[in-house]
Amino acid sequence: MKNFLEVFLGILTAMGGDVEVGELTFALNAGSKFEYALLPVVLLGTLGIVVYGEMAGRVAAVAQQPVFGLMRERNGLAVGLLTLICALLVNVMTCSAEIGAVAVVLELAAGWHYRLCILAALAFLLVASWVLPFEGIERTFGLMGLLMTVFLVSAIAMQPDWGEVAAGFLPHAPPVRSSSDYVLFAYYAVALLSAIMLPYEVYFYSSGGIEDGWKPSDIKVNRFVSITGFTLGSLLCVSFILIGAQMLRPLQLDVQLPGTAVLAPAQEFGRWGVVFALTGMFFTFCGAAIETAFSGAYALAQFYGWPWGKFRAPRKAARFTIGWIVLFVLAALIMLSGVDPIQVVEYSIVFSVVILPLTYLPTLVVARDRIYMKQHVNGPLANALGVFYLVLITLAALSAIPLLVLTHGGKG
Amino acid sequence: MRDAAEVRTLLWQAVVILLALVLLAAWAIHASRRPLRSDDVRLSAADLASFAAEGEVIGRQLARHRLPRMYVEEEIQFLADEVVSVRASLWQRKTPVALAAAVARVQEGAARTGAELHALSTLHGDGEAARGTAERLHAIADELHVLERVLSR
Repeated sequence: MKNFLEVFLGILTAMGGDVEVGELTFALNAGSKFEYALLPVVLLGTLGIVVYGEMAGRVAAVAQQPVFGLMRERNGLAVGLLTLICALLVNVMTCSAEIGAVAVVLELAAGWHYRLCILAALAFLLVASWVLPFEGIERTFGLMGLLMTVFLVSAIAMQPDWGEVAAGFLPHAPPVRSSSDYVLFAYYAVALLSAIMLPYEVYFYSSGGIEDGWKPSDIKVNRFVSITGFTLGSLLCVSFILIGAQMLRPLQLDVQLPGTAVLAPAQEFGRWGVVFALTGMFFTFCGAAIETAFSGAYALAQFYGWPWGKFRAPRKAARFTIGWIVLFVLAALIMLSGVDPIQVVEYSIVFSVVILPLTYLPTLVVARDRIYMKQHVNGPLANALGVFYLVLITLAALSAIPLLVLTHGGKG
Repeated sequence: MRDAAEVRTLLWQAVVILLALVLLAAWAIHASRRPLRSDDVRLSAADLASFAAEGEVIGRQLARHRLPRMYVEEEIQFLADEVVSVRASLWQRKTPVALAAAVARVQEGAARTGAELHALSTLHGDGEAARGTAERLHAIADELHVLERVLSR
């Protein structure tokens, strides 16, 4: 009974903690611009994050090695340090965008001045990260993030043509006005794939597995939670695309502000829809900010071999603790300078996919290594999927920046 | 020897990263100073059309009392700030003669959008007035979409 509850809570936590502001805006715009044509990318990305997350979790449980520990060992110092610097930059960018989005939500709800909201968000994140144990952080923000299901219910309440939605999952040509829109479609495909397969989620998941004391006996739980949790989390992504297609596309409305998303629950459920949406967005963006800050601190500590983890007292993992505090403060300072959080998250999502192969490859190599993994090594299916996704994310990584430039930052 | 080689590699990496950052900064400065192109005006029209469309949605939902007051005021302020930002991006750069008429139409659309958004933020429970403002924002969005399509040819 206790195990069942643990697994159930783990799934709900993964579902509620799966969304961040980049996935929200990209998925809404994907539906607005291309109707259901990008639903196959959601399927592809979901399977990809399940494959990557399951491998990273299995490696953490068996080899007791998190992603960045492997990465330095396998890639060497030069490539490893370059990957670390790029990953930290991307983490800071993503964290700052999430803090900016939290501040926007606070301003929409309370009417405070934007910069005051940034400081309030920073204070809340620092206190929550200090006071709560690791499991408490996961549960609080993951479970409260489930309020985001108001978007799923809103999408269903809009009564889309379910036949068209089902057909949308089959790859098909997007509805475009000109040939240049195909380039924009390719950009959105790469960006959506990146938003679903954000690497910080896997750094956090695998380090969290070690924080939770996973052993080889937890492999089945890891497999079940990663498959179910990430898949259910992608339901929200699908609902954003449906909302974009149903509500925003007829008006040719592009989402450029986090608050625009709230109009869908408001349309279906009035003020209570707004309350649920803003509360869900607050907790889910806070959760994403914490995951990115901790992922950065994990990466730094694991790369240099410093003691790390919330399971250690702050004094015993001092550099790790200072790491996530500095990341939060840096991220908040970036937002205080006045940059647009949506623009920052756009760049962070593009650069995330550029560095994704550098951390994915060591994980795949170790997951296939019988010396490390013993009887828990990749089977034929895991190997085939692992190699398929390595090729796919490498192609996405190579095309991301050219597509960003060609599409004027995704505007067309 | 190995340490020296590693240090050299790291130094070269630092040089490459610094060079990339300098080039990026130079490109950003150049991009902000070059004259307006057709794409810039088209994208501005598209952005403004989108802000007007969101204002229309807010107006319609306000008419049905589906939005809290605080959300309406703050979201409209965000939209108004974005409209100002688009106008400023057009003012700050040199306009070629061939684009002058298009830029003037976009600026006019921006001014009308800003005015209607301001009107929306001052309505207090007046459903009929909110519906009227929503209709006008719908018309502005339509005009800007037409301009965007003309500029994309």
